[in-house]
Amino acid sequence: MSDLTDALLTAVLAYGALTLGLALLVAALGIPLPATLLLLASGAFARQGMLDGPLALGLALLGSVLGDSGSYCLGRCGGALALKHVEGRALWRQARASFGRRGALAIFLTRFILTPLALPTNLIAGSSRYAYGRFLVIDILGELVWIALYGGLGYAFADQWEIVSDLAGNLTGALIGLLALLAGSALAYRARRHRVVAARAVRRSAV
Amino acid sequence: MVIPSTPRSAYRRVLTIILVVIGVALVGFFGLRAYRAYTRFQPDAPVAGLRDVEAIRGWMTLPYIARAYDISEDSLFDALDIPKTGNARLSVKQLVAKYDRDPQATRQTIQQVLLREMRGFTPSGGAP
Repeated sequence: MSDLTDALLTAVLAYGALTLGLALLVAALGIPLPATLLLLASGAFARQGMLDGPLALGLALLGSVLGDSGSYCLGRCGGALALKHVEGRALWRQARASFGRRGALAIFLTRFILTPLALPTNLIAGSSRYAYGRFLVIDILGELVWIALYGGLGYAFADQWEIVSDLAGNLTGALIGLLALLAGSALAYRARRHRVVAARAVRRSAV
Repeated sequence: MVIPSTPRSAYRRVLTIILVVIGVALVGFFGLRAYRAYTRFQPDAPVAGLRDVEAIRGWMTLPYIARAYDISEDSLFDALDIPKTGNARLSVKQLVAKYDRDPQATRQTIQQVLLREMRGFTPSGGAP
């Protein structure tokens, strides 16, 4: 474990659930902190009587939702400035409409499965002017699943939380790899289909 | 029939190769690590606090160690000859630095106290 992770774990033990909430807030704003590991550890600490479980759950939810709202606002304000020159373009309008249709699923899944993609999703949601009310509701639901899942795993396997954290982190990495593989395969399949259709069209015109 | 490749299709081919290579590398690397973590995981192990004295980590505070191993805090502070006041929130690593102690000797002292005071201790033979 890194010195930063060690310091955070000690701070959660020494100062309680408020440290957890603050760490999750900062992590959701894009500062690279081991948020899932802290959540797992906090579940274990609650089981061992070192943390007040319900308070930790409440502050963890508050911190992560405030942080996500902060990064949404960053996308909304920063995006408006950075994307000024593409605002009117058809491709940008198309991308924005696409996020409007499928954004809910992206926001929900990146809260607890594809967590490394949560920050870019928040920034895209903000910059594409995804409705904040809807973002907030989906965000709260997703964060609740995340906290219940990892905090619950830490609570259930209190004496093995480090192994569970290792397992969860590596499974997330493998899942992102699987998504890249699926995206690559989908592109290859589309390209092949395009080539077949084009060849047929050429053959037909030759006849 | 050969279909001439356009700059766009060439770009897509490169993107496809990059995605597949990255995907295979990530799945292989993280999949193997996940499998190794899974082999260490014991879902049926009892969850009644820590048992293995090898599980002591530098980030742990002495009150946490006492609570996790179900022993008294005072015996740890006494054994290390460290006052409890002002030190309850410091980790073992921070205590070692503050009092200029040998990390290995400090760890061994804590382990000896745990072995002496733990109720119903049975060695588990490995760190979690």
